[in-house]
Amino acid sequence: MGARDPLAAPTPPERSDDVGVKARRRRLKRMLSAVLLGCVVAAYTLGALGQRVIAEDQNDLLPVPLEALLLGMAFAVGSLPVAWSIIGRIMLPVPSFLLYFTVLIGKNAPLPFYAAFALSGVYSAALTALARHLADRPVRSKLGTRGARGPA
Amino acid sequence: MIRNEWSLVGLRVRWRALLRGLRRKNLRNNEVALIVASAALGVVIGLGVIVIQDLVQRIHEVGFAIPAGRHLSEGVAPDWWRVLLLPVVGGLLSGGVSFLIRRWRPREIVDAIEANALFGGKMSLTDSANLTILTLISSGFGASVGLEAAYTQLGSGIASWCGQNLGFRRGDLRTLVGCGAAAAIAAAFNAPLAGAFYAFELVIGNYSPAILAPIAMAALTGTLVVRAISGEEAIFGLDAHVRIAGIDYALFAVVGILAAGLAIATMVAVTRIERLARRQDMPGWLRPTIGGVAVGLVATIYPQVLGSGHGAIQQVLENALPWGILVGLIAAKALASAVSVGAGFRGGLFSSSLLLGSVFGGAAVIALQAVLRQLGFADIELDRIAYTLVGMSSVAAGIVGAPLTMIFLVLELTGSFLATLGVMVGVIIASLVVRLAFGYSFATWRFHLRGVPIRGAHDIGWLEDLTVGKLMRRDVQATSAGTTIGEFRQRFPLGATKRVFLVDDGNRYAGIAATADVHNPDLDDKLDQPVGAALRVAADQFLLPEQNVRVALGRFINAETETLAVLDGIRTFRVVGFLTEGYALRRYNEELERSRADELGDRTLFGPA
Repeated sequence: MGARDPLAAPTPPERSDDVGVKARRRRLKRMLSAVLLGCVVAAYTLGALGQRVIAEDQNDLLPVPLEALLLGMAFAVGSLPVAWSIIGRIMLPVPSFLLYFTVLIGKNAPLPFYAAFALSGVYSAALTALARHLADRPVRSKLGTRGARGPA
Repeated sequence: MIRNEWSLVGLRVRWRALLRGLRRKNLRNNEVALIVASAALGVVIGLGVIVIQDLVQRIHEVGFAIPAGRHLSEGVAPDWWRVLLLPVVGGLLSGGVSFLIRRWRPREIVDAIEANALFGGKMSLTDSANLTILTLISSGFGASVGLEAAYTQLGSGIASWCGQNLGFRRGDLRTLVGCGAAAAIAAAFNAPLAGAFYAFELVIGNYSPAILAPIAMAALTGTLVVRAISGEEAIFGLDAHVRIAGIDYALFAVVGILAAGLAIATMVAVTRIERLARRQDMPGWLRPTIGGVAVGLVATIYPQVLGSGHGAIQQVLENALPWGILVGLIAAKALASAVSVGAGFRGGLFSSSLLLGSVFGGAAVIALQAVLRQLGFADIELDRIAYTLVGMSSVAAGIVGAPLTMIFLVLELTGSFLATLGVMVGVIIASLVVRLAFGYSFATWRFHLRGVPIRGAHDIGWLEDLTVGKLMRRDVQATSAGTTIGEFRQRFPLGATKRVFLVDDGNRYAGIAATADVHNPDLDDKLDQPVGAALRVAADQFLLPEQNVRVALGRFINAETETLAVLDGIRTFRVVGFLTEGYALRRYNEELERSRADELGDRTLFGPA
């Protein structure tokens, strides 16, 4: 085997087709998981909104199923492993806080105001944090990709 | 003052004397003794189930301040802070007790399925009691898990302990473990057929006429005890006057397919949450506390997720809940159960899957009715109860992995053959889809994740017991690989031994030389050549004492030789024995025959040995 020419341009690291296929499949799986969990959040919210029995807490701007669907979509978008998923996460905290607040103070055997306020904050934070966790992408590139350049 | 003969030591002496007496009566060869033992066990386990149920109910009544006699999952807890706080306290308690138990006995607790598959039915009573306590804490403090795991663990553990003390055979001990589980489930649901088939499907792995009597007897006595003490009412009160038409059977199949998807999603969700919890940088004993926080949060909106869910199932069966709430409850229950089990609360998914399925069935019937109306079949009225039952049994069959158990459970709960027919369609489809698409029930999925090589309760433990170390011969003839052919012929004349194992200067294995080959007249002019250079075979093929006979037979095929050396280890490489293919095959065949005969309960199945 001959010695490598020191003046030759550096050859890009070899990458088998398999790596690309696996990466695409992994990405697709994460996308599907995000959509599925978005459906779960929508279903959970729909059921929760249906538990409100106090009339003042039901005067929503939108129909209940649409609200649940929008929250589920925001969660799904916020969970996608893409850079723009931050849009979904920006949209999550305030609506989720308000919706769950109306649920907790409007359900049969309502919670006291302070408890409902605190718990809806926890719900909102939990949903946003979960979306952030699911959208988390590896900071370092995978081995063998062109972006894998450590400090010189 | 306690008299001496009734002191603890005195009781122990009497107990041992009783056991000796029973052993002397040679109970291990007596089929009637097995049936009597299973009947007695059924009584004891039935009482145990009542005690556990009562304890958990008391904890619920005191902790959550629910009215006496009501179920926690009916959503009758008056104080929101109890609902939020008690699962957290339960998590802390469960994590702490679990931590202490692990320090005391640092090993995985063997359940009934694993015991029957790998250990010939041997279970630890102490471990079983520990798991029962942990499940009691988990369910008592509101974690979204069922008590059935505790019932079956305690029942099987007691049965195994009795069987071991009475010196029962391997096959009978496995049957007795099945009796324990059958009695536990039969007593829990007041359903002897469901209990018996739970044992056949999950704990023993097959059905044969020989094991029918003990299993059925245990299930029957367990149920009778519960009926005598707690009353004859079924666990779910149900007016099951169902109406099922031709199109319903097709729609039940659709429900079965969707139920399978829900079952798979729930099982996968448990694993994902468990992995997520393990990845966090926190001590293991704290995980159930975090799970308790999540369950408490869910329960503030959906109190039906607390505990095993029997009260909520009753509500779903009795009332036509709105579609939105049913859909929300599916998400909430699946999440709460997955978080509870994934975070480390102990308990099973039997009851949880029943609630999940009944809610799913209730939601499915509303959705299907709407679709039919859209398609112009407004005159077709679907029966809500029938679809709820189909959903309940289909999801539970998918998760628990026991289709016949679920069919019989519905039959015994409703007494309706028509409902059972419908349930049969959904359950069969759901089981088939789960098996083809996923391949596991929840129990076998957990074994798979733990790396335990079993797919059910079929006895494969004998294979692990039949090791090379037990089969090998130890009369090894060895010589240096540098020995010349002439010296070899002098030392090992024809007829003295069939083969000689060659070792190097460090006494490490270097191959095998067949005595007949070394004495081949064609080699007469090469008497000064070393044997190792010219005639050694299988130098890179060997066995280790701990390998089982199946691995050994595979190695014989790879090596294309009839004899292999057994080495003490891959570092030391010293020959400690050898094994021939013929002997390994013969023993393998004998054990297969014995195992099959044990399974079918006929020890003379293959004739006299």
